[in-house]
Amino acid sequence: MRSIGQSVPRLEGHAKVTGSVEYIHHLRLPGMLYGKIHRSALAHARIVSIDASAALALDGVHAVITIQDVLSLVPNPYYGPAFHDQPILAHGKVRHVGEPVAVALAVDPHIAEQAADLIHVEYEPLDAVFDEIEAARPDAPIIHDVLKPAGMFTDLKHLGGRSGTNVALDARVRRGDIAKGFAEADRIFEHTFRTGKVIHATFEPMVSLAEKQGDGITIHTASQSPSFVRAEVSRLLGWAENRVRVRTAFLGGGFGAKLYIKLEALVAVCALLTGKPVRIGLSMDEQFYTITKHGATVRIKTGVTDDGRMIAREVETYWNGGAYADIGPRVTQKSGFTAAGPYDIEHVALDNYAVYTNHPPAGALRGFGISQLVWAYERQADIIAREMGIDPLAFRRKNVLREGRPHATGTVVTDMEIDAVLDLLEKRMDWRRPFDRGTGVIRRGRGLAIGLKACISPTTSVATVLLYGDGSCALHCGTVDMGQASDTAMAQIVSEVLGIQTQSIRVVRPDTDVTPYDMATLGSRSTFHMGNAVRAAAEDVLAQVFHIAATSLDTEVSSLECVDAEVVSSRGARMTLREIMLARFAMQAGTIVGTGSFAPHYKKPDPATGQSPDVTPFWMLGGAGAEIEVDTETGRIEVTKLVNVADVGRALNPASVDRQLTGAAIMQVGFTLFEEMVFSDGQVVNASLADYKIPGFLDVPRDISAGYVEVPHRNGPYGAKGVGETGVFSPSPAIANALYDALGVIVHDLPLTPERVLRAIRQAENRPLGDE
Amino acid sequence: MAVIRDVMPAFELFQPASVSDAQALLKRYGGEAWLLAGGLDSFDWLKDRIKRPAAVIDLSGIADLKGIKPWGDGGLEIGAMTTLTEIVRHPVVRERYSILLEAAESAASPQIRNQGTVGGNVTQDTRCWYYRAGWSCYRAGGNICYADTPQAINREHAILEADRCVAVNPSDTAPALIALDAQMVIRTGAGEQVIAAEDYFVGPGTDITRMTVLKPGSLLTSIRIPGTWAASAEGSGGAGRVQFYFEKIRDRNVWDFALVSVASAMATTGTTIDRIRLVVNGVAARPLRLAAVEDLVRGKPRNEATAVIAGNLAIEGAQPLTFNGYKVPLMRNLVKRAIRGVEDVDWTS
Ligand SMILES: Cc1cc2nc3c(=O)[nH]c(=O)nc-3n(C[C@H](O)[C@H](O)[C@H](O)COP(=O)(O)OP(=O)(O)OC[C@H]3O[C@@H](n4cnc5c(N)ncnc54)[C@H](O)[C@@H]3O)c2cc1C
Repeated sequence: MRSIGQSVPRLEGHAKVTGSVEYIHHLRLPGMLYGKIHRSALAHARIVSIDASAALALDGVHAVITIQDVLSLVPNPYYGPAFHDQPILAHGKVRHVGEPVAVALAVDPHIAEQAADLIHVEYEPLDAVFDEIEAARPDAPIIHDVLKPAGMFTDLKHLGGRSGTNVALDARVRRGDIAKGFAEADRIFEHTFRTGKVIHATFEPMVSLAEKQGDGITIHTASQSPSFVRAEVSRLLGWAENRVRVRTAFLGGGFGAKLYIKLEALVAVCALLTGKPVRIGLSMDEQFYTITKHGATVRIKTGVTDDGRMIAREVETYWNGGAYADIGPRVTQKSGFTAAGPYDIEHVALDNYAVYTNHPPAGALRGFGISQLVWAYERQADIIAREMGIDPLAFRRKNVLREGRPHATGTVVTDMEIDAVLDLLEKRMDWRRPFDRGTGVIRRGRGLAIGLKACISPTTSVATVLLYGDGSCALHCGTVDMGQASDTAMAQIVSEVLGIQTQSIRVVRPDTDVTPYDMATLGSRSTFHMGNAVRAAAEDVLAQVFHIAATSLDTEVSSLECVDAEVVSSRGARMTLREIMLARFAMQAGTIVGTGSFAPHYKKPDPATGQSPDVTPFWMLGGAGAEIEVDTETGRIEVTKLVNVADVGRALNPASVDRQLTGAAIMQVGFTLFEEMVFSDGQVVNASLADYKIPGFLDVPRDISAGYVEVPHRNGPYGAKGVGETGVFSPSPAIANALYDALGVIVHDLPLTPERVLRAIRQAENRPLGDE
Repeated sequence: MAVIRDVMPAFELFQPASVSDAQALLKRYGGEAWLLAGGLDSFDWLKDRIKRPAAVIDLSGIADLKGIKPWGDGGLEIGAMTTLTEIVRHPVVRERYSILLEAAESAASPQIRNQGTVGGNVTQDTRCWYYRAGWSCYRAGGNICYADTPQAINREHAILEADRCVAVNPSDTAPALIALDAQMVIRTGAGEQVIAAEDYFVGPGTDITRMTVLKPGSLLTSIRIPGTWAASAEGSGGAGRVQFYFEKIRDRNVWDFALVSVASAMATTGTTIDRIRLVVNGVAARPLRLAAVEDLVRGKPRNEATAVIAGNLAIEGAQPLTFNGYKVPLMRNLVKRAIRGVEDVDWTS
């Protein structure tokens, strides 16, 4: 049985299209209360008083919960994966518009909503700051009195107790001698690029339910990180982890929005305070105030020699983290250290600042900060190439980081197929063919870009594979399938080891009472980490099966093979898995349990220089090529061709890989052409899917395709690397580079709306808008 | 943000079966009544609790308001409750009034067009996001315009005819109907009234709380399109050949309102422009018929030179706000295109 490398259909495919899979969104519990959140109307203010009397007077309202109630149960109500800075409900002050201040609990969602509206909060407004550069200045209004790093990451500990600053973290990388590098350069290029805030826009909004059960609590939640939720909720309650059960179902999208604690601590507290099950589900609008992607300002300075080699690069990035750190400091550091790009540059200085502002919190969004950096370094690459008269592809070939060379962090690059990715891009884009740019109103252009990510480290995954009495098989795995087809890929791995059909393997949904620990489903880590754990667990089962078979068949383990649910010896003796269970337990019953775990090796970077000999378990490399048409009279861009290419190590399931890359490309087309959260005094003025625009089918480029390079990674399960994010790195700069190719106009900001393109055209003509 | 937009609040629903029953209800509830057509604009307002009518009068059960039938000399009468999809699929619209087809088809998404009516489309309220979020601006009865402050985000707002309020009209069918010289049939308490489409829409100078002339108690029953501007058959290059031009610029290709749109109906002999009606939307609180430009180009050849002077005249007096300056060249260029056409643009995409 060969499962690996086959486009096995999704295990849940039929159930999904027939509408029968479970989503937490649909769950209702008997006697349940509905919670609706009263949210802050101000960006930064001290809370003077909260008056819930009108809400409580409403028929059907069970309670109104404020931080005072929370404190009776949780004396220290602050949570977060990197910093313990976010209170379960606003505590003394609010730090962003939309921050949860109180919760109205009622028997009916309509009443809860009406009640939430009737809660009256009196504020004393404080000065607010929204821009990441302004917020980092010493005279900016201070958002958090002191920094409160969580214990989980030892490299943040030194920040504890720091006060009077909005800079939550500064992370640096130093390699070579940057001053010498610039002194030796023949030309120096310096630009500042920006990206605004966008959201994940998952179609299933965040939703959590909690119910008290005995001396414990069960939380049903649409979460990408059940293990983290269990640990954090038990820490808040001061309970042992085994009293908190966290389970999830399929997610209607995640993209990083449903990580760490979102509504879980709040529903848990509400359920414990009222003794009743509580459900809080957000509306689409509320998601805009819950978690966003980081906006970033990237100043990038590059020294180049006359023969087109980059020898020095300095990048200073300010990450707009919003009012609470969430995972922002990790984004800042773990992505920040790749800011020099997939290039072999001798002298590098990278500075990254995680900055608190009065915007809604920013966290991980598919790519963990990488696309903000690729936007900057790949836009600049094309500007440099053009100014130096070098073909953009040739410029990249001259500078890329190849096997065996040290990355800016000092880690030597291995198992990254950069030349193969460039070759594939060249071929798919037919790059050598003469390209007609047009001369009329409609102009054409083409561009490409490549981006690099280091998979975050260190993280752990644990898996269990069970063989039941009848020889059937189940996998207990904490990876959350949110549409990426991870269940199918994990089952394929079990299938490959045990020779059981993928479709017949039962994958048990994440439930911390059942499935073993997994750090979280994020950062393209699951295929690699959980994949290795699952493989080890299946191999553990196989070893036990072989041991039984060897005894029963009186043969050597080394002569055995498992094919089609049967163990076969080299002499042709056979035993089905069913028979093996009978042999082991003397009746058709029992369970064989196999376990496996995986944690990659890792060396923490030196805080002063960011240097580490082993900074990541695997490098992810993605590239994109775009052809566009731009209408010079209206500023409209039509992406006519988009190729998204990745180094995937090994495609466990080619169809799933294709969809990950293509889906990522479409998502990125939205971020490139029109998605943007528009803020006015901290309010999101376009907080709805009518005004905040995600791509529709007519926005999908006519010619869109994915391609991948397969050279097995030495440590990946069957050579596989993660691929969930690789597709988002490069489309934006590829499209903007195509615009640059078409018209020679330089855009520094996203998205490329007709407005921004028209502005750029007029700027290039030296007739800025407004002189009609 | 304190307002939660999740579930629909309660209201009293009426489902009359005739126009006269609807009128009786309108009379009973006055300013407290809300007319419901396809609901695509209505439900937004109700669900967001920005408008809280006591009574909702659903027009979908009134057969008289539906359908497309011949009218007058080669024209059409379209019931107010006719859906945009029915318009898009109608053979006579396709053959003779393709500009209306293009305009209707450019609106929203297929699902919305299946449900959204033409009456609702021309009567829908502005998309100004401050106003729609319930901020108490001039249009909502307050005394400030949030879209016209120094920090305001106003890329989608007006460059012409602003008067305290800087909102724009969002309807895609409106400019096409004005270009076709359509007439709006209105039922008021006093009887039937027929007015030109171009007079159906009002700016803030006329009435800052309304987008149309409709006052409480009135409803739109149908839209009449005269035969005067029916397109000539393919290949009939003779005198008075009618051609249309419609283009809508938006951020994304589907489910998106116009940043600026243009609609024109033009009759030419050879290359000379005999008659023309030219309308722009997305630039002011009402669709603007550009009568001065029409006068200027009448009798002139359809070429680049005419297009340039037309474009320049069209934007005279434009006053951009902080972020919508791009609408000025956009409007000028779209007017140019309406006059001279564009060879290498695929109009359907
Ligand atoms: C996501 C989205 C995208 C959209 N995109 C576009 C777009 O691209 N272009 C565009 O033009 N529109 C767009 N619309 C707006 C609009 O809702 C639809 O175009 C639709 O045609 C409105 O018709 P309706 O029947 O749903 O009207 P309703 O929402 O029911 O009514 C709209 C308004 O008109 C009034 N009204 C309706 N019928 C009558 C009548 N006969 N007499 C008097 N008053 C009446 C109602 O009281 C209400 O105030 C979009 C809407 C949504 C939700």
